[in-house]
Amino acid sequence: MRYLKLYARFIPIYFKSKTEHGFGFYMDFVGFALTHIVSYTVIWALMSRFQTINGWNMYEVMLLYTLNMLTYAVAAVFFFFQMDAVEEDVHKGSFDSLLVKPINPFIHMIIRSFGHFFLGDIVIAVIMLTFCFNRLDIHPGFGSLVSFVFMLLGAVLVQASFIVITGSMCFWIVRARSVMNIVIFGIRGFADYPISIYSKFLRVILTFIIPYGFVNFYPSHLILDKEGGALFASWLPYATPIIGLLLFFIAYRVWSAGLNRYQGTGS
Amino acid sequence: MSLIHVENLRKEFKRQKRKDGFWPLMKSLVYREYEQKVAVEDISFMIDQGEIVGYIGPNGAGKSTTIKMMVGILVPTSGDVRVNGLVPFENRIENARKIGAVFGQKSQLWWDTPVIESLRLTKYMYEIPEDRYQQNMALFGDILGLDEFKHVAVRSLSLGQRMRADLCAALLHDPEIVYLDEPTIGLDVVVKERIREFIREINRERGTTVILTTHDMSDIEKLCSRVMVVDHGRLMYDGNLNTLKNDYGNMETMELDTEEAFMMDDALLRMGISFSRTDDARSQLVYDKKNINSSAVIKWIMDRYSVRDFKVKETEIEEIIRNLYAGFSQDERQRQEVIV
Repeated sequence: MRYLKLYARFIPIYFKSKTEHGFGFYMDFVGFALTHIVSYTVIWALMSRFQTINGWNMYEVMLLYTLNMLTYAVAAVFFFFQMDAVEEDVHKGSFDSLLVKPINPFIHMIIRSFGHFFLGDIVIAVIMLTFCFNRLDIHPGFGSLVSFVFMLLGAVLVQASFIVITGSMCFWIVRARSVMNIVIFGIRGFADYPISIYSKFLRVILTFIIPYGFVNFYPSHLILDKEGGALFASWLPYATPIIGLLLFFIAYRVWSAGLNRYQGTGS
Repeated sequence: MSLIHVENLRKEFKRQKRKDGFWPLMKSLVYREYEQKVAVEDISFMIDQGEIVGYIGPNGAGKSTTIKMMVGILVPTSGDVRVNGLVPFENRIENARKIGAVFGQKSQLWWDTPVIESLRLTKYMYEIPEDRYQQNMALFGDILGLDEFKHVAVRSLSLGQRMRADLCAALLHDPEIVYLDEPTIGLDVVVKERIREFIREINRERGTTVILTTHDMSDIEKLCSRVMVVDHGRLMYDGNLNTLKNDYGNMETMELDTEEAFMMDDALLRMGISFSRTDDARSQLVYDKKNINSSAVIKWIMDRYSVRDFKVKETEIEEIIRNLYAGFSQDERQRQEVIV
C-alpha cells in the first residue's frame, strides 16, 4: 500500500520531467509503433502466399504476434528501462544509492521510472486485438473474457521475468545488455509464430526451459479453440498464470542473488 | 553505550588476475585465477553520539569500504559492525531510516528531476511529516542557499550545487548519523565553507553524529574533534587532531622567490633549516615547526634578501600518513632490535 502511494508520487514527476523535452516525447511513441507496422506487413505478405501455416491462418498468426507484443509492452512499461538503468548504475557505481534508501531496492527500481515508450505499443496491440477478434469472429462471453485476461496477466509475468532475469546478469557479467538483447529481441521472436511449427527440440525449450510459448501460443488456445489442441498436455493453456507466478518468483530470486553478490563485492 | 561499534572488521575482495599476451589471455577465458585483496584489515573503533569524526587516508586505503559496511551496502568478510544496536547489512532498510549518506561523486537524487521535486520525493520515501519537512527545508535552504537552483533538474546542476542538494536530501529525515564520503571534493572555497558551516550547525543543533572522509586537511581542522587514519586497510591512528599534527606533521615548507639569487647559509643550517630548489627555480626551505616558527624564518630572510613572493605550506595529509607509517615501522624495528 505504502509502495503504491509512493508510486503515485513518482509517476507524475516522471512525466513532468519527460514532457519538458516536448516534441521528442511524442516521437518516442511513433518510432516504436512504426516497427510494428513493418512486422504486420511481413505477416500479411507471408500469409497471403501460404494461406495457413500448420493450421494457423493469417489472423490467428497476427493474433499471436499481437499477444506477444501486448504482454511484452505491458511488462516493459514497468521493467525494461528500469532494468536497463540498473545495469548502468552498476557500471558507474551509482547503484549504492538504491541500497541506502529505506525501501526495497526492487520496488525502488520499478517506481523510479516509467516506460512511456511502450504505451504506443499497447494502443496498437489493443486495436489489432479487436481487429483480429473481429476477423476471426470471436465473441467471448464475460466469463471467458475474464479468464483470458487472467491468462494474459500470467503472460505479462512471463515477459517481465525474462527482463528481470536477463537484466540481473549485470551483477555477474560486464556486458549484460547483450544477454538481454539475445533473449528479448532474439529468442522472444520465436513466439511471433505458432511454436508448433518448430522442431520438437525447440518446442520443448519454448515450453519448459525458456517458456515463451506461454506468452501467446498456449493462452490463445482458450479463445481460438484450435483443433488438435495444445502441445504436450491439454491443460497447459490453463497453466499460464501458474507459470507466470513461478517464473516471476524465480526472477526475483535471481535479482536477490545478484544483489547479494553486489553486496559481497561492491562492484 | 556507544552509537557505532566496530570490532575486528575485515573485508576481502576477490580480483581476477589480469594477464598479458595472447595465450595467457585465452587461458583466462577458461580458467580464471583470482587473487585476494584485503581492503579492510581488522579495524576496531567506537563512535559516540554527537561526535564528528574525520576518516582519512590515501586513495584505496579502505575508507569507502569501511563506510559502505557501516551503511550496510557491503557485507563484511568477518568481524562485527553494530550501528545503534543493529547489524547494518542484515537490517539494511531499518538502518537506512536512521542514517543519511552522501557519496561524493555520485548523487543520491533522481537525475532527471528538479531539485525541489527530488527533495519532495525524499520526503515521501522517508515518510517525513509535513511540518518537519517545512522546518527543515527552511533551515537547510537558508544555510545551503538552495533557492537559486531549486527548480533546476539534478543532472544540470554544477558540482557544488549538486553537493548542496545532496546534503540537504541526506539530512531531511533527521538522521542520527550521517556518512559523508568526500563531501568537499572538487568544490570552490566558498561552497566548501558553506558546507562546513552546515555540517557544524547540524551537529550542534541536532546532535547528529557525523563521519566524513576527506583529502582536505582544512575540512578536518575546521570540523573534526577526532581523526582516524587508515592506510592499507589498517587503522594507524585514532585520536585527536592536534596530537596527530604535533607528532607527525611538524615539518613546514616555505617556498621563496627572491630578487637576488638565494644562497644557502650555515646560519640557516644551524637553525635546522634544510634547503632545496624546486623545478621552477624557486627556493624551498624545510624546517621543524617545533624548533622555529615561520615568522622567524621569514624575518631572517627579509633582513638579507628582497623577497618577491613566499608561501608557507603545512604538511599535507599524505605526508603525515607517510610519517605515521615510517614511525610505525621504526617502532617495530626498535622493538625487534630489543628482542635481538
